[in-house]
Amino acid sequence: MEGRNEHLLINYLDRTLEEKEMREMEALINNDLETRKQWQYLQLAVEAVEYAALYDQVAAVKEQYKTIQPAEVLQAPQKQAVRIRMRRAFSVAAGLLLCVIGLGAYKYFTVSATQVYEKAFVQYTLSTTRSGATVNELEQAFRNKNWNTVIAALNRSSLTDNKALFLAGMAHLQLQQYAESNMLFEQVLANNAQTGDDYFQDEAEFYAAMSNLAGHKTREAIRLLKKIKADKDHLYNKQASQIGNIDLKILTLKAGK
Amino acid sequence: MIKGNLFSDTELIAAIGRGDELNSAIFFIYQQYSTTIQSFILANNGTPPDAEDIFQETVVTFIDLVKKDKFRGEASVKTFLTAIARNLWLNELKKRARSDVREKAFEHSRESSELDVSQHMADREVKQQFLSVLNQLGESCKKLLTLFYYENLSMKDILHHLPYENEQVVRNKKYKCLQSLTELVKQNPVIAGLVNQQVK
Repeated sequence: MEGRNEHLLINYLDRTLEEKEMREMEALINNDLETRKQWQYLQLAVEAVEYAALYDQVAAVKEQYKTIQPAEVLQAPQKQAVRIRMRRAFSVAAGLLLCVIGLGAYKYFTVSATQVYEKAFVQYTLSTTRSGATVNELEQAFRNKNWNTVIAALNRSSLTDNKALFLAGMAHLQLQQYAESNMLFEQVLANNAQTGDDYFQDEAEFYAAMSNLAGHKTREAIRLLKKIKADKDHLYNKQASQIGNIDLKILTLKAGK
Repeated sequence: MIKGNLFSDTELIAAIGRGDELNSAIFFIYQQYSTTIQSFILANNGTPPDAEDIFQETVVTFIDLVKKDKFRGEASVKTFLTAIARNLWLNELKKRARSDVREKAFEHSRESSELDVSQHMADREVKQQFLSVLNQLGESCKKLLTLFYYENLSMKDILHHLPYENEQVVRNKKYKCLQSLTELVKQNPVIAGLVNQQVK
């Protein structure tokens, strides 16, 4: 093929010919076998360029993809291992959570003012160092666990002595007369507040707490118990500390209903 | 870095057609389909390099067909890619003259309803010869022709990419390069055979 025709064919391919030349070239391609063949080779050459370029482009992207992919492949088992560990951890945590919830529920439903009272209550043992004629009668009745006699002795004497008041309060408590016992313990506390003394203060506080628990005056009981627990020097600190904070919170929650 | 776009089938075809997001589209195809299709090659007596090569060729063929408007969403992209890969791999197996029994078994295993893409695909051997002749061409010519015919850059733009003095020099060089390539194409027996079949 002549060089000029080849040049024209390339220009025809690139669409850089004038319109008249384009039509002439089209006619030549259609009518001249050699030109048509040359045109085919030229088209295939350009197609080869495009195909090779696309091939290279895909190869380049593939390489970029592969730089990411191996890391992902390597990470996959680790992720899986982590997932397995996480799953186990979650299983254990879920088990523990269920246990905690179960224990919590059990605790919530079993803790009551009565239950705490029974747990914390301790029999009061009368000391022999403190003495007095009337009190002795009262004390004797107390030692004999003759609760009604204790109460009667107090009523007869109109004593306001903290010891008599306290013992009579204890007698009421033993008889499950919580309102009366509580009134007497409060009187002890009121006396001390007035005199600035602490005679039977600790005893009155603790058993007032017990009395309030048993009498379902839970808020007042909790207030007293917290005070006793916070005071390391309180006579009944150890006894009150047997009541856990969770129990107190549950009692508070229940009292709030 | 190529951004990891997500494409629907329609968006993918459109992106390939426009050519402005081609790298993202190729990356997406690798992300979405390479594992499945390469697994298919591996499951049919292919080695990992076979699977990688066939998938790469599948992607090239797919994009080539989309660019030539020979895929118009008659099937999903996944179905179409799988059909191309099957076709290419079967072709490769035949070429390697592996066990006839195995090939026949594979061939028979193809579902009758499977998409037939063979009619869309140009002779694979010719495509491979395209790569061969381009490799015979010098690197500078390959680059220049790629910028002009594949990247569609003007002579002026090509000046920014290649160390030529002016547009006329680029024009002359490009003309000579295309002449050289056409000569290589003519001399290639496979391509020449195709042309002789077509021009009678």
